Amino acid sequence: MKDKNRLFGRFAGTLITLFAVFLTAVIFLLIFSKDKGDSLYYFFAGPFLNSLSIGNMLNSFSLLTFSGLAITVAFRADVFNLGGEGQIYIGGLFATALLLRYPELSGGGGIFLATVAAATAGGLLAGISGWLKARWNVDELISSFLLSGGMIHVADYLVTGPMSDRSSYLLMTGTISEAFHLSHLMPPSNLNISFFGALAAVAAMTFFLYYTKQGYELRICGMNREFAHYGGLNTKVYTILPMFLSGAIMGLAGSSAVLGVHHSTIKGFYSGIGWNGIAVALIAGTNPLAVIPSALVFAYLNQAASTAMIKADFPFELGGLIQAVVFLLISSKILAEKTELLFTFIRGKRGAGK
Amino acid sequence: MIGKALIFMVPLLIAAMGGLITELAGVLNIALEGMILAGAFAAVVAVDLTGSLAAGFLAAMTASGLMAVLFSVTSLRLKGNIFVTGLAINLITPPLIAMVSKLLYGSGGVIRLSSGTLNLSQAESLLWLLFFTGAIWFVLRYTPLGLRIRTAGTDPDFLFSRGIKPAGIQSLVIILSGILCGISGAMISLKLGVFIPGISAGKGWIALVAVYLGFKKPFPVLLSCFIFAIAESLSDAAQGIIEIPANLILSFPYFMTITGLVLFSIAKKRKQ
Repeated sequence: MKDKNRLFGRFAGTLITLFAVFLTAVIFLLIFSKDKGDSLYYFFAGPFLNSLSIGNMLNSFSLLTFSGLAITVAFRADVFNLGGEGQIYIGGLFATALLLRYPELSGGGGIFLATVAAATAGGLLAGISGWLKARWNVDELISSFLLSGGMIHVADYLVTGPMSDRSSYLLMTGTISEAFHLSHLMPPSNLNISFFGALAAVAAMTFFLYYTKQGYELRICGMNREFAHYGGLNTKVYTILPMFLSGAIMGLAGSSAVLGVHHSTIKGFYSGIGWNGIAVALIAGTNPLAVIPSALVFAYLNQAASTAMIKADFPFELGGLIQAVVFLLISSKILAEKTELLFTFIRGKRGAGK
Repeated sequence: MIGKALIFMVPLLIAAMGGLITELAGVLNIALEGMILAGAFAAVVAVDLTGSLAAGFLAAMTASGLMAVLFSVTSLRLKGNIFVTGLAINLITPPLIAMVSKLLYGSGGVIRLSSGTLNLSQAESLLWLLFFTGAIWFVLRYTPLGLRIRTAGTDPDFLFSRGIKPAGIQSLVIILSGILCGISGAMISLKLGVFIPGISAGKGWIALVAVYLGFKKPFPVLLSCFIFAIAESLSDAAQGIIEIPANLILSFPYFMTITGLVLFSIAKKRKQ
């Protein structure tokens, strides 16, 4: 019973955060937008207006599912991966580099190898932080952020320098051959088969965490590392492994964006996937399955902001602001308690009325 | 080169002092970066409007102070996870600045000052460095407030038993760190006479690592800021001799900081 209450409290806290997010969006829109009616309309209805918007929303959902899942795995083991942006960028860049170097690969083989390369690159970048934590107790939260922050600039250098496409006006690498493009599901939208990849990743991660010995041990380490240690588990492994997995899944987000949408590595393409992944995971709690609804909400918010931006004069920065409001409020214990009280109060009143 | 490093390290040190007092009070303050950025922006806007440097500093301290209030309310009053709310402050600042800037200047980009830049000489820089480090050292060591700050970090229950709310001390310290970050941000942007999005360039993070590397003591923190500043001016000097692409230079502070952090952790592990 008590557990049930606590679950409800979490849910209530999430609801109030989402409410605050929409409220912030509306308030800022009323301050900064000139044609307020249009902006409001496109913000709330925009994502569902045509198949292009719906498809783009679902594509954003797939990418957010990857990044949200990546953070969830780390959370589950009680480690923190703050380097999502860099891991996505490096993952995408490795996939691109491989396919540009070996254009003669067959379509399927190339896609497979590029995906593996992206996952390995992202996984190693995050894995270093895990290893530093296990070896010398370096805070993985700060080290993953710093490593990724540094690598972003190195990748920027590669994308705009040695690997840049001189014929393009955009800051991007050369374009990969058409054989390696992931098939689109709802043209002209960006939705592609990585959508199923994201769902499969959730299924695989759920299976790993709940139905395998390693998954079980990882969860034990996440609950109480000391207990796990005295229980004879190698806790160091479960510091490095979840970080590696987390980075690898971030890398998958990178390769999905590159192979499915951009077909090259564009400078800064990771923005909006990395940090939002943390927000998605925070709302999902530590449950990999809950990543799916949580990523849907964020995909809707993303698409709402971008449709309103294109169709009305919705300010571009609002997307970032919305995400930050989630961060400000989502972890609040008091908000969760207060909302829970409010719900109980309303329920009590209704009961008394009868 | 040492003189150059001295000038460069003033804003870094002031932010690090903000990080030091929060760290001692038991608050993980990763919001430094966002608060520096807010200060840098507010300073340029205020100097642009009034032409007075003092107004710039005042505006910067107010803006960063307000961000600190938001940080303290969401993490202490609403009991949010301090890491997540700190991240929120860093994430909320750039879009807020861009929106205000659009409202004031019609664009969310670079704001250039025609006059009124801040020029610190080496002697003045040294003076400010010693002043801020000394002041924080004195407050922490010899005043009741300093004692309370340290106790809030080490033994909050004891503080509570003496009728002082640890959360009150912590929120005071967070706001103080916000004001310090405001000064730091104002120094960064007013020295260049321009605000560029992302002008804080990881200084908040470096400041935080300087706090760890300085073993959470004022004068050692000063020393570790100095080391970072020397490294920065070294890479500046290297730029003149061998051509290093700008993007790679931008990555140096991150890699330097992580190297410092790893060395610190190794030293700490050896000690145990």
